[in-house]
Order: sequence, then structure tokens, then C-alpha cells
Amino acid sequence: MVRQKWIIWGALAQAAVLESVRRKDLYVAMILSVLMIAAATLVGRFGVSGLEIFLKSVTLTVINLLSTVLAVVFAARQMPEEMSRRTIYPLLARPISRTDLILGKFFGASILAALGLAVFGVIGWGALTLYGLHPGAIFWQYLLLRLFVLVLLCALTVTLSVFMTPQATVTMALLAAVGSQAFSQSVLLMDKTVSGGGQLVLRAVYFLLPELNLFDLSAKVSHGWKPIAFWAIGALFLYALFHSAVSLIVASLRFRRVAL
Amino acid sequence: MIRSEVLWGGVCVGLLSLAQVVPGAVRSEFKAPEGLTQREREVLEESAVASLFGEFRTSLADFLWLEADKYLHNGVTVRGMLESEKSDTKVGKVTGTEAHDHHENETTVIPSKASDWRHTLGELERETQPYQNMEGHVEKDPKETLPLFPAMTLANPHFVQGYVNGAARMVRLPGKLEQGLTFLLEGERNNPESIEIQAMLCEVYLVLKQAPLTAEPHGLKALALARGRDFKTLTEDEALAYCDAYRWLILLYRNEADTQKKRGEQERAKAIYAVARSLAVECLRTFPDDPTAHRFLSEHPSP
Repeated sequence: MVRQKWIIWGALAQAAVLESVRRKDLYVAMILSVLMIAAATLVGRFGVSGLEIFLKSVTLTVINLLSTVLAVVFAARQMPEEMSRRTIYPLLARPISRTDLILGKFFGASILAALGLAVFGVIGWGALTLYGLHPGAIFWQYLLLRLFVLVLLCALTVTLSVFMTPQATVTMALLAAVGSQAFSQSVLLMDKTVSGGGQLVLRAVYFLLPELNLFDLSAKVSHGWKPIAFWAIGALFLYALFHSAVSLIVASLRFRRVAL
Repeated sequence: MIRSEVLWGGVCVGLLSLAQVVPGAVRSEFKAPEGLTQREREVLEESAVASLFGEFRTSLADFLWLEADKYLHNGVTVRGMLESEKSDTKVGKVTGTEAHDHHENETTVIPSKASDWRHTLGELERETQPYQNMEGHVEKDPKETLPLFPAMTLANPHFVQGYVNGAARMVRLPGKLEQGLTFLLEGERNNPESIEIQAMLCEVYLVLKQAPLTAEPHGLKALALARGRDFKTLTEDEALAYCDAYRWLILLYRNEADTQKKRGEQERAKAIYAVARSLAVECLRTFPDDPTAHRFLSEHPSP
């Protein structure tokens, strides 16, 4: 039974990946990577030497930004496209449940996001090495945590896509990804200015929403900090797993009620 | 399909080639523009494209400014304390060493363990983000931040803070005095009406270059610029520079008068002391608590 489910999810994920390859999404990712190198070359060429931390920071910001945008765009269009092209009907006519479809699409988007991240990671590492900057072991920890957060973001985006239009999904998911740190800092500040019920609500919201900024090691990599403790990586893996699972359960429950 | 892929490949190769060629071609033009006249500023305000570009370069300069501050603190971000935090002993305070402490009522953006209600999530944030106990912290070598200052003034040649702070760091590093002075003079060209830059030039020429004759006109220009403005409209930095200009000029005239006195030029020394005295009196009218002016007047009272 479980094996059969994995086969179904794998087939759906494979179809999503092939569709994306056919649409040349990864080519776009590679072109953007080349642009990134060109930009980095320009910075070096203008003679701004000694800006090691700045170069690392820019490279990691580009990796963060592009991998996030790609993951959101991949995930946001999976479900709506199946519906708008009406290919969802032959799919559901097979022994595939709606939950299977959600999970298959989530796995497909996650694999694509991981591929994109791998491309940007290699390009970023190459660019840094080209400048004689060696980010060290923490760079690979950074990529691992980035993978966790992209998987979580794919789950959130697939869930949002069941509730909203594709455009709204992309906007909301990008806001969640980009605004996570600002949200976290705002809650920490507001917590000091409210008390009683208001404080309880604020803290509940903080714990309910996934804190995506916890997965971002780019500042530590840029400033040359040592690798982080393994317990933190394990805890963040569980944190991403928990929020992804909750998100996909919500998506599945909602999608079961959608009239097709 | 193959044709389009070849085309994209060509575009990529072209871009990479451009990255090699463009900088060499534009380098000779890559200088910060001269200070703008009032008319030029009005033209800029009327041009949408110029305004947008201006906004961009201002933002870039501000971003680099914040980055420079982060570099000094190893990436740890700090903020001002809330009123409720000032008396809270659990809140981690940011303080420097006894010799170098310019922090007042500041704390880290990521709260200390003692004041954090998030438990494990707080621990995770302190582990994954740059965080350390900042009580009595030592800042990183400012040398690493030096390239950022020319970068921020390249982005926005009217970013006076960048010129003044960058030059202040450069001139105090061994072998970097000339570089710092050149940078400051570039700032003067781009911002001829800056009180801060004139006051800083006065300080550098007087204290580090031992050239009082060159320092004097800069100090006087700083005073003239400040007097030409309503004091209430001066920023905190401008007011500080205004006060500094008084101080450096008082010291400059005192030193000059002392020298004349030693040479036996009593009358000339008296005249110069009188100039310094009038400046000290004027300084105290605007800055009643200034210790330099008070000390000078107590050491050299009116005859």
C-alpha cells in the first residue's frame, strides 16, 4: 500500500519535473546564474577590492532570492494549471486520490526547487572560489537549511494555491518568505508594548506561523562564523517537517471539498 | 529549439564578454560627479528618471552604511532600547570597551536568552543568526570596512556621513592618512556646503598634518556655513561639527598665540589670544556646556 502510494507520488512528481524541463524553467535558472557571475565579475572589475564580506553577502542574497522565487513559481502553478487545462480529470479518473495529487505536486515542486538550489549553490560557490573566498563548511550547512526552507515553502505555496488564484498565491508566498524576518522582529518589539490578552494572541500567532528566517544562515556565512551545532540542524529539520505536514494536511482537506 | 538554445548561449557569452569589456571602457568616466548647483538640483527633481536613479543610489549608500556597521559588530545587529527595557536587567546591553564605547542604551535585535520568551525558537535564532553577548564587546578591525566607504560615496556622492566616517577611520590607520585626506577632499568637492566635512578637514590638518595655516580656513568656513543656517534646522551631526569647528579653532589660535609668546611677540600673542577668546565666548552662547571653551576662558581670562 505504502509502496504503491510512493509510486503514485513519484510518477506525479516526475511528470511535474518533466513539464518544467519541457518549459525550460531550469534554463532560465541557469541564465540567471550566468548573469549573477557577470554581475560579480563587474563588481570585482570596478576595483572595489577588499569587499570580501560584501561579495559573499551579495552572492548569498542572490541565491536566496532566486531560489525562493523559483520554488514559489514552480509550486504555485502546479494545481491551477492542472485545473485550467482540465488535465486533472483524466488524472483523478485513475486510482489517484486528491491527497495523492497534492502530495505528488508538492514532491515535484520540491525536487524542482532543490535542482534550482543546486544550480545556484554551485554557481555561488564557484563565484566565491573564483574571488579566492572560501566560505567553509558553514556554506554547505547554509545550503542544507535552504533546502529545508524551500521544501516548507513549496508546501505552503501548494496549500495557498488551493485557496487562491495563482497570482495571489505567488504574492502571498513571496511575502511570507521575504517578510519573515521583519515579522519576527516586529512581534518581538510589539510583545514588549502589549500585555495580557494582546500579548497572548501575539505569541500564539508567532508560534503558529512558520518562522522561515530561522533557516537563513547567509549572515553567518558572510561574516565568517563557525558552522552551527548539529542539534540546530536536526531541530530545524523537524520544524520544517512539522509545518510542511500541517500545511499539506490543510491543503488536502480543502482540496477534497473543491468542486471540480 | 536547438536554434533558440544556441541563441541563448550566444547571449550568455556576450554578457560575459561585456562584463570584461565595459569596466575598462568606463573606468576613466567612473568618478563621482562634482557638487550640484541649485539649478542642477531643480533639474534633477523635475526628471522622473533622475529622481528614481537618485532614490536608488541613496538607498544603496544607506544599505552600505548599515552593512559597515554590521561588519564592525561581526554581523550582530543592534537597536535602541525601548523605554521599558532601559531598567530591565534581563535585557542584554550593548557596551564597548572602556577605551572605545559609543553605545548608549542599545541592545541586540535578537534578544538575550534571559529576556526571550520563545525558548527553543529563540535558541534556534541565536544559533542560526549572528548573535553574541555584546557587553564589553570589541569591534572588528575597521580596516575591513574601509572599501565600503568609497563604495557608498560612489553610489551617492552627497552622502556626507560616508565621507566623514570613512575618512575618520582611514586617517587613524597607519599609512592611510593621505588616502583619508584625499577621500575627504573629494567629499568637499562634492559637498561644498557641508559643515561636517569642513570641520573634519580642520581637525585633520591641525592635529594629524600639523598644518594650522591650512586648517584655519576650513574651520572658519565650517563656522560661516553653520552661522548661515538656522541652528534649529541643523542635524545632530551638523551641530556637533559646528561645535567641533569652534573647538579646533580655539586650540589652533591658542597654540599659535603660545608660539608667538615664546618668540617674544607679546603684542601679536595678545591679539591672537583675543581672537580665540571671542570665539570661545561665541561658542558658549550656542554650546553653553562646551568644556574646551570653558577651559580656555579660565586659563586665558580677559586682561
